Amino acid sequence: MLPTSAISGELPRRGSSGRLADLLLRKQHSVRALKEDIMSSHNPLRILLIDKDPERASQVCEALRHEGHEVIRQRPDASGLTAAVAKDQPDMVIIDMDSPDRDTLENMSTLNTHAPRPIVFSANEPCDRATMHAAVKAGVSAYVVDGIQPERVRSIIDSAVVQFESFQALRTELEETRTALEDRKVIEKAKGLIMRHEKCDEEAAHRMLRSAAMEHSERLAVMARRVIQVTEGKDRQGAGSIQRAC
Amino acid sequence: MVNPTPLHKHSGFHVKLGFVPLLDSAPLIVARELGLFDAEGLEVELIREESWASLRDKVSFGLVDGGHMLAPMPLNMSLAEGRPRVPIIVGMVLSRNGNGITLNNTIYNHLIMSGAEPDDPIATAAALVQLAHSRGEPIRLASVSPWSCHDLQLRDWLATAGPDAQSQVQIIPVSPVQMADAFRAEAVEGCCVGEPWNSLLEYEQLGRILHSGHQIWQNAAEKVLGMRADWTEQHATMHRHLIRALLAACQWLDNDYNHGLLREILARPEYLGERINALDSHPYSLFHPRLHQHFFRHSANFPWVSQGHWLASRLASRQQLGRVTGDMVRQVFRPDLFRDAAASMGIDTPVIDSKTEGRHQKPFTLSGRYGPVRVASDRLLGEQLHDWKAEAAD
Repeated sequence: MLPTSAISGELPRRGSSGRLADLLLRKQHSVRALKEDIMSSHNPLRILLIDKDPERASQVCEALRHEGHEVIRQRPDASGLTAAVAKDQPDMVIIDMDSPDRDTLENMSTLNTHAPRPIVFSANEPCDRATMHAAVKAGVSAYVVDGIQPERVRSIIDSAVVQFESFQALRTELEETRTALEDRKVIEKAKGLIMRHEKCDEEAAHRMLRSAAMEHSERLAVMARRVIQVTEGKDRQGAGSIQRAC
Repeated sequence: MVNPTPLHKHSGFHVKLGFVPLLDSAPLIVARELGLFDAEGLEVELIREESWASLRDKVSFGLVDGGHMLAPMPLNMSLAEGRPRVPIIVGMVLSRNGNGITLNNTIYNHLIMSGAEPDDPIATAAALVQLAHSRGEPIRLASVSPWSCHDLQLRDWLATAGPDAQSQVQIIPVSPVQMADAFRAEAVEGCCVGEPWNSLLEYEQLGRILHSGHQIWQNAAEKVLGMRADWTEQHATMHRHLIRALLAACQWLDNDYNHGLLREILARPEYLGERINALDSHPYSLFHPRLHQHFFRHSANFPWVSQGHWLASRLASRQQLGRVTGDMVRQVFRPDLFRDAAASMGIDTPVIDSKTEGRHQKPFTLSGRYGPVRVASDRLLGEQLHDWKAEAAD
């Protein structure tokens, strides 16, 4: 905060030191005021981070600390979020969208005028719609107390969104690799079954599977699963044909 | 029961609906599992949300088209002041009742010992405030989400004890999944939540249900189908099909014989999960008889404009909305849309859109388009009357 004298431009009381000293003093004041002004916009914000995914929370935490903010990580317990917010008095709360605690925060903001408010509906619109859309899509939600500069809020949201997105991308990639591996195993198994039942070679089995998949406009792996299902059923019942499955 | 990989992809009109895993999200889940959406040519993607705030945000930013909503929520989204409005259309009510006021065993026993008639909410509210006075410390009650019937009913109940209640009862926000822990740690001494949470608190012997929401506002609209207004304008026919599918699901849900299968479906991890199985050994099975939760009977699905206005007036009393006129409510609650969808299924509906809320102590009969229609009672705590015409004068 600026000292009141700096805001009002009030001069120190004139004394015996004369006009020059006054001017000097005045200048010193304005320099100090300017310095304080710069400092205040870089004051660390207290951010309460709630994310049930510990790895992602570490990433977000690191990124925000790197930007000079103070981050408090919280795993809500029985004493509840209300107590945590009252104790830590954060300027901002970043919370993952899948947390049931979001309703608790919403409720706090209706009960207590000092509690952080949902940023999507903040009255002074600290964020543009595009930023908010990206946040909702990435699963980041944020609550902020009144009076924090919009640019700072936006930059914090942007960093959190980047971390959430990169984490999601990594997870999707992992999932895709796992599925691809699984698919390959299933296709191999189905080909083996076809070879055994139809007494053909691997190439013919592959052709059969592929043409069946094309005919049903299904993925190869989906078709392979069907073949396995039907063939295994057939082994139990001892009737039907693998061609029916295809 | 396993969810089989569908052999044939259903092609249909794609709709994304959000839901919060509560007992009253059953209409959406059932409509999907019984193929009722398919039958209407809809391919519905159900997206589970852990909080109402997330559902609201996803609807606001177009990531879902609509979904299962707390009845006051569409009013709050559509008519808010001082922040961006998101117009929502309520084409049907999904469920009525189902909330409970549950107190921990100590407070519950104190109230009973004090001689207050446990079935009389006005007497118990007074006794609760008296108890706070005598122990010299406020009673701590939990409320779940703002702009919910739970929150508004809890406050209406406490308000009957006079202005003193405000200082003698402290209301703390707690999420339902943490309620049992909060009871155990004595961080809260009671709460007002939806099912299955009251039953689960009783089941774990952490508390007793003192009152049902039904005793505060009889047969109040609890959850509604809320769709983004621009979606309903662009897809009016699909909206009608959606209402038809959900209406069929609600009808199925009111039949006790289906509750065994319903429990199996709800217990799947993608819906409510295993915790619902605790209700298996509960003597009442899935639906607690004291809570009068229902989905179809007595014109349960009809979105009364007067009930919308009642909810808006309660929100206004909590400074969550400004003054709301009848025309404003009519933009949100749309009995006309419901009437058409219901008629196409041979289900009759009242010809009027509004009634005096609080006047009817018993189920009563109104004229429908084709004959008489039964409508549920609507008593309000303290014999209040919400004279819609006088209150909603534009």
